[in-house]
Amino acid sequence: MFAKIAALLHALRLSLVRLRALARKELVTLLRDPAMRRILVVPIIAQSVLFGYGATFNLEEAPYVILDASRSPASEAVIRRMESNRIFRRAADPRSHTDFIAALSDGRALIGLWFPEDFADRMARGETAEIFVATDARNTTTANVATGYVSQIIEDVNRGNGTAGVIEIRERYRFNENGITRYNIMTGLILGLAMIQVMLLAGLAVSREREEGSFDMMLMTPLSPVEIFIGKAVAPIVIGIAQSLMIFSVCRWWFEIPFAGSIWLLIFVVTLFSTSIVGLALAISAWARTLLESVVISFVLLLPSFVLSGLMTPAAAMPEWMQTVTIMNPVRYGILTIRMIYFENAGLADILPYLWPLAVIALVTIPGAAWLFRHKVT
Amino acid sequence: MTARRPGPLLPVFSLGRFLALLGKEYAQMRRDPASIFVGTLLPVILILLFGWGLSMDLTRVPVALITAEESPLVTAAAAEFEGSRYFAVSRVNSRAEAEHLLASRRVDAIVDFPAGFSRDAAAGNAVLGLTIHGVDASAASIIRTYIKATVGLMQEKVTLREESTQVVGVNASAASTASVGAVSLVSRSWFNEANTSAWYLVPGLTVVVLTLSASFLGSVVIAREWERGTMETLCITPAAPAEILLSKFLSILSVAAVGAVLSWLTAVAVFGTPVRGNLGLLAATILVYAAWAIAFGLFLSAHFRIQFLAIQLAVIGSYLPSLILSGYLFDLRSVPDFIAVTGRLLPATYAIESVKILYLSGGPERLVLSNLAILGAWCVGFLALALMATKKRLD
Repeated sequence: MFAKIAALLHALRLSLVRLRALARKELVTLLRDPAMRRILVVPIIAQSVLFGYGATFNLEEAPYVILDASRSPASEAVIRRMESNRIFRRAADPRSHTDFIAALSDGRALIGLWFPEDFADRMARGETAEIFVATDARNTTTANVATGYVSQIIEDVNRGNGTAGVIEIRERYRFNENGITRYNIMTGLILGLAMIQVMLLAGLAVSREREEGSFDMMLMTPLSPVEIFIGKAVAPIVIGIAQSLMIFSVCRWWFEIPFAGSIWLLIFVVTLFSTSIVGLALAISAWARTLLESVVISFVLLLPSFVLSGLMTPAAAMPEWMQTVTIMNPVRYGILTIRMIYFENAGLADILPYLWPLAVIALVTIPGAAWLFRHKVT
Repeated sequence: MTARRPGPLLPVFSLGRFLALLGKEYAQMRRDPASIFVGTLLPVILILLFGWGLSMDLTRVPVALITAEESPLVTAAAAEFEGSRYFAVSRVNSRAEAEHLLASRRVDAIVDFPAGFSRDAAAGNAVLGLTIHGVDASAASIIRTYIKATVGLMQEKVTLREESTQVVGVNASAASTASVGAVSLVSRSWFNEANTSAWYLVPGLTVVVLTLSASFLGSVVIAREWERGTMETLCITPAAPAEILLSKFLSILSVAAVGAVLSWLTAVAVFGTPVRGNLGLLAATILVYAAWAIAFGLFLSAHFRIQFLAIQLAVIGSYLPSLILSGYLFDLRSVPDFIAVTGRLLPATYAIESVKILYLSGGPERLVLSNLAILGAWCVGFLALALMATKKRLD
C-alpha cells in the first residue's frame, strides 16, 4: 500500500520535474528573441494609451458652424452658451447657405446650427422659435451625441427664460457620474487587447513546432501528451495575465479610472479568461494541419467574439438571435464581469452566474486539446 | 566592410520567371485554400457578423419605474413608458427594490416618480428622478435621450388634456405665462437620414475587414518561405527579389480584389447602404488601399522572417488601429489633437474617410481624389520598403 503511494508520489514528482523543464523551455523559446520580448510589452502599453485617448464618444472641441440669419441678441445668447465650454469649437463662418452645406459635407464641421430670420421675432411674440440643426451623420453616433449636447444647451436657455416644461428631469449616472465613454472601452480592453496576442501565441506554439518537425521529437521524450499540453499552456497563460495587468495599470494609473473592486478577484477572472482562451487556441492549433489554417480558424472564431462582446457598442443593441448565439462568447461575459468588479465592487457571488461560459470553454477545450495531441500523431 | 561577391550588374526583371513564380503562388494557394478563404469569404462573414452585431440601436431597454402615487398623471406616464418599444418596464413600489434590480443588472435605469409628483406638476415644478447605470456611458446617453423624449411626449399630451378639461392645470403650461417664446430644435441627420447605425458602420467596415485580410495574407507569405526553408531554395534560383515580391503581391491583390467586390455586394444587398458617389472612384480607393495593406504585410514578413511576429505586427499595426484610431467608430474631430494627428498618419483613416463619402454623401470628390493620392504614396512607399527587405541572402 505504502509502496504504491510512494511510487505514485515518485511518478508525480518526476512529472512535475518534466513539466517544469518544458514550461521553462517554452518560456525561453518565446522570450529569447528580443524582438519578441518587445512585441509582448511595447504594443500593449502603446495601444492602451493611444486607444484610451482615441476611443471616446465624448466630444472635445467638436467643430461646428453657425448660420445666423436672425442676427439678434436672442440668437447671440444661444451662441454664447455654445461657446462657453470646451465641447464645441467654431470651425468656420459660413456666409451663405451654400457655404453652410459645404462645411458639413466636406467634414470641416460635425454639426451646424441655422437660425432663421424670424427667430427673434417669433420668440418676442411668445411663439415657439425654431433652430434648425444639421449633423454630419456619416458618423451617426457622434452626430447624435452632438445633437444631445445642443438640446441640453437649448433646454438650459429655456429654463433661463422660464419657458421650459413643467417636468424637470434630475438625472445621475451611477458608477460613472460624468458619463465618460473611455471608462467602458478601456476596461473592456483589459481582456480584449491581451486576448489577441495570447490567442496567436498559443495557437502558433503547436503549429509552428509541427511545421518545423520538432513536435514529433517532443512526442518521443518521456513527456506524456497531457504534460506537453500543460507545458505548452503555462507560458501563454502567464503572458496573458501579465498583459491584462499592464492594461489594468494603464486604466488605473494613467487614465485614473477609479477602481472600486478587489484586485484578487480581478486577477482570478483574468486567469480564468486567459486559461480558457489558451485552451481554445491550443485545441485549434492541435486540430489544424498548418499554421495558416490554425491562425485562420482563430481569427474566424475570436475576432467576431472580440467585436461582438459589448467592447465598443452595447451588447444589448445586438439583434435578439445574436445575443443568444453569443452566450458562449467568452469575451462577452469576461468583459462584463471585469467591469462589474472594476466599477461596482462585485463579489464572487455576483459574478459567478456569468462565469460559467468561461469555465465550460476551459473544461471542454483543455481535455479536448490534450486528446487531439495524442490522437493527431498516430 | 565585408567583401561581398557582386551580383549581376543589372537586376533584370524577366517576365517569364515572373509568370512562373506567379503560377507557383497560385498553386500554393490552391493547395492550402485557407488563404483564399481569408481573402474572399472571411471579409463577407465578418461584415455580416459585425454589421448585424455592431449596433447602437438599443431597443427594449430594461427600466424600473417607481410609482409612489396613483394619480392620473403618473398612470398616463407609466402607460407612455410601457407602450414604447424602446423600453421593457418593471413597475416597483420602493426605491430599495429598484436599486436591487439595478445592482443585479436586471434594469439599466430607474425612473422615479416621487410622491406628490402630480401636485408639483400642477404647480409647474415637478422633479422626475432618473438614475442610469453609467459604466457604458454611450449606452447611458442613448437611454437618457429615449427617456427625455418619452417624458417630453407625455408632457405634451398632458398639456393638451389640461387645455380641454382643466384637470391638472393650475399654472397651465409655463410657456403661456412667460413673456418670451420657447426655443425648439429641429434636427436633421444629413447623409444618413434614417439615423441607422448600419449605414454608419458598414461602409467603414468594408475597409476594416479588408485591412485584416490583406495585411494578414501579406504578412504570411515571405516569412513562411523562410520558416520552411524554401527561401533558401529560391535564393539559388536566378529569380530576382522584385520578381518574387511582385508575384506574391499580385496573387494576393487579385484574391483581395475578389473579396472587396464581395464586401461591396454584401454592403449594398444585405444592409441596403446606398452608393451615392462615383463607383469607379470607390473601386480605385479600395484597390489602392488593399495594395497598401498587402505591401505593409509583405514588408513585415520580409523584414522579420518569422510568421508569428509578422502576423502579430500586421494585426497590431493595421487592423486594430483601423478599428479604433481611424475615425471609423470614433470621430477624429472630437478627440484630443495628438490622437487626431496619429490617426492622420494611418492610411486607413484616408480610406475610411473616402469610403464613407463615396457611400453616403457622394462628395466632395476633391477630398476623395486627394485621399487617393495619399494612399497611392503610402502604397508605393511600402512596396519599396518591402523590396528592400526582400533579400536573397542567408545571414
